[in-house]
Amino acid sequence: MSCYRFRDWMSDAATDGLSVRQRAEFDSHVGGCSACREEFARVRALVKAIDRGVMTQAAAEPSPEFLAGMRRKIAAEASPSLGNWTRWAPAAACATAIVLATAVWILWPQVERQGQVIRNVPGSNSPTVTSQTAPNRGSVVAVAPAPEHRSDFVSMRRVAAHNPRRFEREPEVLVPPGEAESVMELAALLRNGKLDGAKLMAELQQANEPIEIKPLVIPLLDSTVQAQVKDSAPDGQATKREFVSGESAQGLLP
Amino acid sequence: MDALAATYTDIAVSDREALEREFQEQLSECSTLAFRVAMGVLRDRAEAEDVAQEAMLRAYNNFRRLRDRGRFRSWLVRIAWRLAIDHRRAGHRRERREQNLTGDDASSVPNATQTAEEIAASREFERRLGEALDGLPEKLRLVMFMTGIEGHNTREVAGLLCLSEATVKSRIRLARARLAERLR
Repeated sequence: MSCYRFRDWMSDAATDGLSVRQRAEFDSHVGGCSACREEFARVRALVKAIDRGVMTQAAAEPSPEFLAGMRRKIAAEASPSLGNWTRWAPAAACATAIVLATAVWILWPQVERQGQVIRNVPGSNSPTVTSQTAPNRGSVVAVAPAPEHRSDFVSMRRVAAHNPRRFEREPEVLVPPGEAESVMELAALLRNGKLDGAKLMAELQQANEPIEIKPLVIPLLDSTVQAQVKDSAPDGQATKREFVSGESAQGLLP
Repeated sequence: MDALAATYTDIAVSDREALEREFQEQLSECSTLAFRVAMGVLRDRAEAEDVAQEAMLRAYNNFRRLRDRGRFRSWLVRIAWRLAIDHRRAGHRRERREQNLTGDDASSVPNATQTAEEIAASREFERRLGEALDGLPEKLRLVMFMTGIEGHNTREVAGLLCLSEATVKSRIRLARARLAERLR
């Protein structure tokens, strides 16, 4: 009964596939059972024959023509395989050069205009006005150089989307409610050249300068102060009264 | 522009020549390996040579894409093994094999010292072993063949098949046990 169990283990035992406990149990049985010992010896010989057979099959040598035939096939394959793409190399180089030149030609003026954006100050000659109306908070008016092409405008929008810090260089003006249209008209005048921005800025700066107020001189009251009321109504016109201080009026009085 | 194109062409040609030289070296070293892998699956010399040549051609056409050239042998083994499996599944092998069994089998050249009974026994055993190997799962059969090819040890087989040594040992043991069970 137990021999069947151990004969199931024989293949594993011959290939060292039993656990330590199983191996000890198997060895003790085979040591006392001649039939299993003979069977185990047969299985071990079989496993060795399998290894030899596999090695024999695996050690097969190709025919002498094999390598030469393979070299011929590869030589026939050589021109369209490894050399195939080199046929297109000059054309690819020319195409790459053309694409690069076109890209430079398109992008070069845009780079220059972006430089103008950086140099742009309020009052420049060519602003573009965009406005966003916020009913309760006034309007935000952005003044930016007018793009000459649609691609320029798209690129400026990209700059605003991907690099807000760079876009901050374009001035934005917060306008009180109702004044957005006036500011836009002003910007349009500046853009058209009808209004000189530099001159306007100079006038604004002058107007914003603080007014110099001279100290008020109050003369002392004097008994000799007289008030002269001079009525002059030549040709029936309105009467003009002049109050002159005593000091300054002394020479005038008879 | 023409100078740029000419320079580009020169670089391409020199690159191609270097690749050609490198591949020719690999071809001399590894063509037999490809044949043996195919032979392990097909057990037919002519078909194994065809499959090995096809494997080398594929390796040649894709040699530029192989970044780690040190893995060429492993890469070639997988190509040859896969092609041989596909070839066998296509059903070409069965007809040729039946013809070989009735005719003269060049792959099992008898030893001069063997008797007729021994030759018959060895050819019978070889046939049964071939059938038993065919019955193994692919991953067990590949490991079994790779241990027999060129005397590879467990570590070399693990490197060729990109497996761990423990996995290779386990598969070898399992394959031998299953073959022994079938041939008992």
